[in-house]
Amino acid sequence: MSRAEPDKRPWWRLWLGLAGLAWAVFAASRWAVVMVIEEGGGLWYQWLWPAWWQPAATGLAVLGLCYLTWVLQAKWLEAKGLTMDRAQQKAALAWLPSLALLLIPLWELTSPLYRLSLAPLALGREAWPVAALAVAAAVGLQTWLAAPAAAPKAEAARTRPWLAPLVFMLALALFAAVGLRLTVVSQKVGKFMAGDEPQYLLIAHSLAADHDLDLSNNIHLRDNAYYQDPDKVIGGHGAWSGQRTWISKHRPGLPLLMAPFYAWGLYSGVSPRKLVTVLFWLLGAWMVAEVFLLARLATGSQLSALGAAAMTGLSLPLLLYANLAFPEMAGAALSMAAFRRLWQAGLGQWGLLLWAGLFTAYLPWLSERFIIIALLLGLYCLQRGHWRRIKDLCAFFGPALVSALLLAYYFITLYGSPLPSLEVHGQGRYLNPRGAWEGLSGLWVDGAEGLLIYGPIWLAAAAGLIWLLRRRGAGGWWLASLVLAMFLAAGLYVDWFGGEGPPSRYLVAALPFLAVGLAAGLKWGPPRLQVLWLVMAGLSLAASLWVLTYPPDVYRYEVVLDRSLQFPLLEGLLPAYIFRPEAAGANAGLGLIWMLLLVLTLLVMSFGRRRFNPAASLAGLVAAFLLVAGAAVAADDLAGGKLVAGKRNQTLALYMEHGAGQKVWRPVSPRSGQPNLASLMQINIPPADYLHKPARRAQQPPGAVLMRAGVKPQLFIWGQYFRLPPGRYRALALIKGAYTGPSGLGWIDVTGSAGQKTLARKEISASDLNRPLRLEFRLENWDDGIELRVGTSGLAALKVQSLAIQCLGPGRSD
Amino acid sequence: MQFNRPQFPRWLVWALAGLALAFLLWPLLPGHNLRHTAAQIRLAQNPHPQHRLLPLLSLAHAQSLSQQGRLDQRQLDSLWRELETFQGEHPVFFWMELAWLEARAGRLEQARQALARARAADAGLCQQMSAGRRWDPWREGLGMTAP
Repeated sequence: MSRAEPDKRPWWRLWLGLAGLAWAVFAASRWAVVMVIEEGGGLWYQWLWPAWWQPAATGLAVLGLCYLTWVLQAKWLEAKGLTMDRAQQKAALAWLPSLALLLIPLWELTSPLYRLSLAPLALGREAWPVAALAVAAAVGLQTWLAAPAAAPKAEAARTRPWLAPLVFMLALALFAAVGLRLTVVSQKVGKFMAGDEPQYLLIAHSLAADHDLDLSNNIHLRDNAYYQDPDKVIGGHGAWSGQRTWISKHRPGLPLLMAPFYAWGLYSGVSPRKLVTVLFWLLGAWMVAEVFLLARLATGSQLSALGAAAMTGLSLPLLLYANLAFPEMAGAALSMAAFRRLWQAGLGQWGLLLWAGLFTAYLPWLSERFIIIALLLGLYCLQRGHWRRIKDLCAFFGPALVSALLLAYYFITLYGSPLPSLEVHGQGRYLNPRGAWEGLSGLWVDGAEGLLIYGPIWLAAAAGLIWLLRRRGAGGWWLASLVLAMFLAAGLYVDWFGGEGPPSRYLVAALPFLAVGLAAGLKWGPPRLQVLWLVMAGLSLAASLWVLTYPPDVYRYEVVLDRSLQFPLLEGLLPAYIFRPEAAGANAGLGLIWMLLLVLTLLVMSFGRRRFNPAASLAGLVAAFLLVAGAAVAADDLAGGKLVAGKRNQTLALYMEHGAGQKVWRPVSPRSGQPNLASLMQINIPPADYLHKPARRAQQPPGAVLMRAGVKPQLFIWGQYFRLPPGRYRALALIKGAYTGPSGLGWIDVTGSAGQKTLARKEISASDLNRPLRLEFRLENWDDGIELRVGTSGLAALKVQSLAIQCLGPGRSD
Repeated sequence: MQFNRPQFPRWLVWALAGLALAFLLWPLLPGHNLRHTAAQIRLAQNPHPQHRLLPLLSLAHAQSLSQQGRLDQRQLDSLWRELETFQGEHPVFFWMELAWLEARAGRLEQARQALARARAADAGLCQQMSAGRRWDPWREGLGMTAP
C-alpha cells in the first residue's frame, strides 16, 4: 500500500523520538550506579553519577546515531519499493521495540529503594549489552519485514555445488587457528591435557609402535613422555584382561584413527600430539560440512544452512572438541554423515546406504555410548522403507552386523562376556545416585558444566528443531529422537559432565543434529526466534572468544565466564552441581528455575508469524526482560541473597571505582547513622571455596581447609581471580598448626594476571602459625586475575582458617 | 528439493583418496621400526639427563625385539648405570623393564637383581604389573609368583 499525499499527521515521529530517547537514556545511564549495603538489618544506598557532561554527551551521540540509522532504513525501504512517506513511517515504527530498553535503567536504579533483590542490578551491570543487542536485532528484523516480499528465486539458480567444499576448508582453517591458539597458551602455562586424552594417546602409541593393544610395555617404558611431562605415569585407564594383557577400558576405534597421525609424529620427530590434532581438525571440518549439507537438504535454503554451519563451527563445545583427543568429534562426524546419507538415499541407492552402514558400524568402536546412535540409525533406515529391498538391507545392515559380531568377539576375548561390563566405565554406575535431576538440568544450565553457559546458541537450535518437526515431519522427528536419546543417556549417567574435560562432552555427538534446528529456525521461525538466534549467536561468539583467551579454565569444574565481571552473575545465580556439591538443594532449585525459563522460551518460540508488527515485538521484549529478571530474583532469593551480594568483590570494586567513600550514605529504612564502611573494604575469601586436592574441608570452623603432612610441595589454595582497582591492599590469613621447629612450612603469596606476576610473597614458619598473618601489596592498574594463594612444603599439617583481602585506600602513583 | 551434485570426476577423487591414504600409512608399513626411530630422534634432541633413560630403554626394547632378545652386554650395563643414578618418579617400571630385557638376553641373575630393585622401589606396583603374560617364559626362573 502506498499513498501519494504526504501524511498530515506524522504521529509516528513521536514514536521515533521516544525510541531515540530510550536509547539515549539507556546509553547515558551506563555510568550511573546505585550502591547498596545491608548491615544489621539496615539498608543504605547512594546514587553515583558521573560528571553531567558525560551522560549528556553519550545520550546526544546515541540519539544522533539513531536518527542517522532511521534515515538509512527509510532509504533502504524506499529502494525496496515503498513510497518515501511510507518508508519513513515504517522505518520509524520499526524502532518501537526500543522502548523496552527503558526497563533496564529503571530497574537498575530504583530496585534497592523498594528493598528488592540486587539481582536486577547485577543483571543490568553485566547483561546490558545483551539487552541492547536484542533490541537492535528486533529493530533490524522489523525493518526487514517492513519491506515488500521479494519474489522467490528459482531453487536451481540458487544451488552452489562448491559451497560444501568451501565450508569444509573454512572450518578446517578455523579449527587449525584454534589449535594454534591452544599451542601458544600451552607453551605459556604448560600442557593442559587431562582426563581421557593422554590415555587415548597411549593406546595410539601402542598401535603405532607395537601394533597391539597391550599397554604394559608402554607403561614400563613411559611412552606417554612423548606428549606429557616425563615424570608423569599413566596407566591408559587399563586393567589386566582375561588374556593377561593390560588393556584400556577405552575402545580402540579412536586410537586406530589416530595411529597414522601419531606414527608420523614418531617418524618425523614432530610432537605426536600436535599431528594427531590434524585428525580432529579434519573430523571437525567434515562434521561442519555434513551439517551444512543436511541443513540444506532439510530446509532447502543455502543461506540458512550456511548460518547453521557457521555457528556449529564457531560455538562451544564443538570449537574446542575439534582439537581434543576425545571420541566425541569422531562420533559427531560419523553419525552425522550416516544420518545425512540415510536422509538422502532413495530406494535402491545402495551406494549411499553402504557408506551409511560403514559409518554406523564404526560408531560403537569409538565408545559404547554411540551404540544408542547406531541403533536409532538402524531404525531410521527401516522407517525409510529400505526393508523392502534385500540389497538395501545388506548395504546398511551388513557392515553393522559384522561390526556387532566383531565387537562381541572383542568383549568375549578380553572380558569373557559379549557385552561391555559396567565395571570398566567411569564410576561403574549409569543411574546417578545423587538424583536424575542433577544431570538432566546440569547438562544445560550448570554454571560450570552446562552447555548453554558456554554455547547459548544451542537454545535457539532447540527452538528451531521444533519448527523442523512441524515442517519436515519424520526426518525432523528422527533428528529430535537422536538428540533426546543422547541427552537422556548422558543426563542419567553419574558422570554426566563428562569427567575431566571441557563441557559439555557427552552432548558433543548430539549437537550436529541439533544444529539443523539452527537452519530451520532461520528459515521458518517467527521474528522472535530470529531475534533469539541473533542474540544467542552474539553471546556464543563472545563465550568462544572468552574461553580461547584462557582455555585451561574449562578443565576445572569452575565457571570461566565470571572472570572480570563486577557481578559474578553466572556463578552466583546458576547451579554449581560439581563445583559446590554440598549445596545440593539450592543447586536443584536453581536448576529448576532456569530449566522452567528454557521450557517457556521453547514454547513461546514455537508459534508466531513472520510479519511486520513492532508492537508485538515490543511486548515480547518487555516480557522477556521481565522474565529473565524475575528468574534472577527468584534465583537470588533461593540462595538467601548471598550469591550475588555475598562473597565477591563487586562492592569493593564499585566503591573504589566511584569514590563512594567520599559521599553520604542514605538510609532506605528510617534509621540514623552511617553504615560500617570498613566492611565494604574487605573481601572475605572462604578457603574451602578455592581448595585443591589433596587438601580437604575441615569440620570446624565452616570454610576452613586442612592440608595433611607428607605431601610434595605444592599450592593447595588458589583460583579466586578477583578484579581489583588500583590501590593499596593487605592480605590477611589465619593458619593454624602444631609445628614448632625451625623449617619452612610453606608459603603464602598474592599474584596478579592469573598467576603470571607475584605481587607479594611470604614464607610460612612456625612463628606465623596461630596468629594473623599480614601481607601488603599495591596495584598500579586494574588487574582481573588477583589470587591469594597458599602452598605447603609438606612438612607439617596446616589448617587454613580464614583468608581476606583488605583495601587500604586508593594508591595509584599518579 | 534436489540440488546439483558436484561434478568432480569420480576416478580423480578415488585416486587422490588412495594417495592420501598411502601417504598417511607410510610410517606404519613393515620395515619402519617406529620405536627405534622415535627413540633415536629423542636421543639426538639431547634430553635432560634426568630423562635420558627413557629413550635409552626404548631403544634397547626395540633392539631386543628385533634381535630375538640379544643385546650387547655393554648396552645393558650402561642401562644399569643410568638407572642407578635415576632420581625421577616411579623407577619401579624401569627396573622391571630392565629385568625383562636381561631375562630376554639370557642373563637371569641380573634379571633377578633388577627385579629385586623393582620390588624395593614399590613392591605393590611390582606385584601388580608382573601379572602380565610377557613374564611367563621366565616366571619360574625369576622366582615370580603365578598370576
